[in-house]
Amino acid sequence: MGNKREARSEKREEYIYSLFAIRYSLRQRGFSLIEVLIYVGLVAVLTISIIGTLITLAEVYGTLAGVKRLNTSGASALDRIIRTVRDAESVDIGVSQFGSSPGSLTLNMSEGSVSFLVENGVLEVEEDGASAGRLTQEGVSVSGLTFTRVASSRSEMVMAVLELTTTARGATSTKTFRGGAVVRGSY
Amino acid sequence: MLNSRTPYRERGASLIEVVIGAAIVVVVLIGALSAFQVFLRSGLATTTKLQAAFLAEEGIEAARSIRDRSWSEFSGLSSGTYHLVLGSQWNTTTTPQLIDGVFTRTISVGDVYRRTSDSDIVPSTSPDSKAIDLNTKRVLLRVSWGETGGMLASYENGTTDGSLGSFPSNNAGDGDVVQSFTPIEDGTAASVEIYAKRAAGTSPSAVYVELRGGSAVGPVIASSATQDAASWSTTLSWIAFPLSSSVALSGGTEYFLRLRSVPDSTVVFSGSSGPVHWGYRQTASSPYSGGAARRYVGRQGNQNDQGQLLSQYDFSFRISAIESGGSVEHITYLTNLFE
Repeated sequence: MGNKREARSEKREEYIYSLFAIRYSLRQRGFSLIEVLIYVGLVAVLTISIIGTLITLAEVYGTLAGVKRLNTSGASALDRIIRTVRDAESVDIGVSQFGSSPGSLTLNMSEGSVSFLVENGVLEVEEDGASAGRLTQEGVSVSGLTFTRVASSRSEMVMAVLELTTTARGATSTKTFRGGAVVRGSY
Repeated sequence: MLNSRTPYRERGASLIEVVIGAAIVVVVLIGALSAFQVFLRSGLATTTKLQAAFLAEEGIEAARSIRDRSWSEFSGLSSGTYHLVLGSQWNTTTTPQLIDGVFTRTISVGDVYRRTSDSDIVPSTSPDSKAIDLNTKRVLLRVSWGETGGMLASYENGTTDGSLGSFPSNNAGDGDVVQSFTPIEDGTAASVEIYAKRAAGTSPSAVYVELRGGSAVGPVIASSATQDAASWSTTLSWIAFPLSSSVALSGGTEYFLRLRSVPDSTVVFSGSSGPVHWGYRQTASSPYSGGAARRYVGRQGNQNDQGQLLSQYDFSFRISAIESGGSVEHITYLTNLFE
């Protein structure tokens, strides 16, 4: 009697579960604890590695952006100095500051004079004593600028050592650019 | 309706599918990261090439400066390869000069042949009738650079902050501090780093490093430019001393890294002031097996005094190797303008 009722009740339960297939399948084919743990572990590992990758990429971008700033400023500033030295008639020894950092260089051109000097970490160029703009871009500071002059009875040569610093995402990088030229006007 | 959804519910992603999917994502990430590493390396190498191009240009101009000073001196360089060195004038030397611990700049001056018919410069192999022009020289300027390789030798656990050798001694002539090391394999050393600081409230003398062979007072095989220790941080940090010329070190041989100062700390009343703290570590059995620390080396002006062996101590240091990186070349012709 009791068995019969139980059997009927089971049958009814089965019928209900077949109606509500969600509950049916959950009950029959759920996830084991170990499966859930593995899935959660995988998701965690993947999330951590993806976030790590993104952080690394951001750092790489920051470093490369910093390097680009240093390269652009170094190349354009030193190029300008070298070209001006080459075109100059002579070096104004009295005004220029050689051998120390930050130094300055004043060149006598065929018309007027051109000076290079550091002001608040910015390499400035002056024409006839009036500011004619900056040679290093924003975000780059001149941490050192040393001019050296060697002269013989026939010509004089000027060397420049330009040290630039930039900070990208907390990492500071410094690069030194060295160049020089013989003053052609001294011939 | 419900029945049509049932097979969906029954067929979820199996564990193996999820693992494979995750593996694919990881492989893609690793691929993207290694690609970015290549980009970063080539991006950073751009600066080196730029610096080298400027150095090459300066080298050509230096050759011009030497030519202006004396044609006979310049044309006398006709054989061999030289390095440029700047004193009160540009000069040539056969001693290798390392610039910023990375660049090597060499200059070689060669003969120039001119074709008899039209005085054009022709190669020495030209079949035409030609003669050497004594008043023109061909200048080949080469700037090569190394890439920082691995460590030849290092010990980095010496983080104890203290004045082990009272270096540079305050006028007392107490001598130098030395750490010996043994490179694991053969290599070319280009730069030395030490883990050091200046003691708070002091203004130490300028310091430099020497690499010596044989013993702490053996022959100097390489040295660095001086560093202004008075501007150092008052917490221990790695301080780089690029060597003024790279030096080949043999694996398995003991070398001596000696810290020196200007004024000389081995000389009494020289005016040396300190102290510099060089991070160290002490253990009953020496913490670094390839060498040991020493202090009071060369004290009281005795240049043969190997000082006191501190067998339980080691200072933190890094000796980094340099490997061939790349090079740029400039060729120009210079004529005798004045003589």
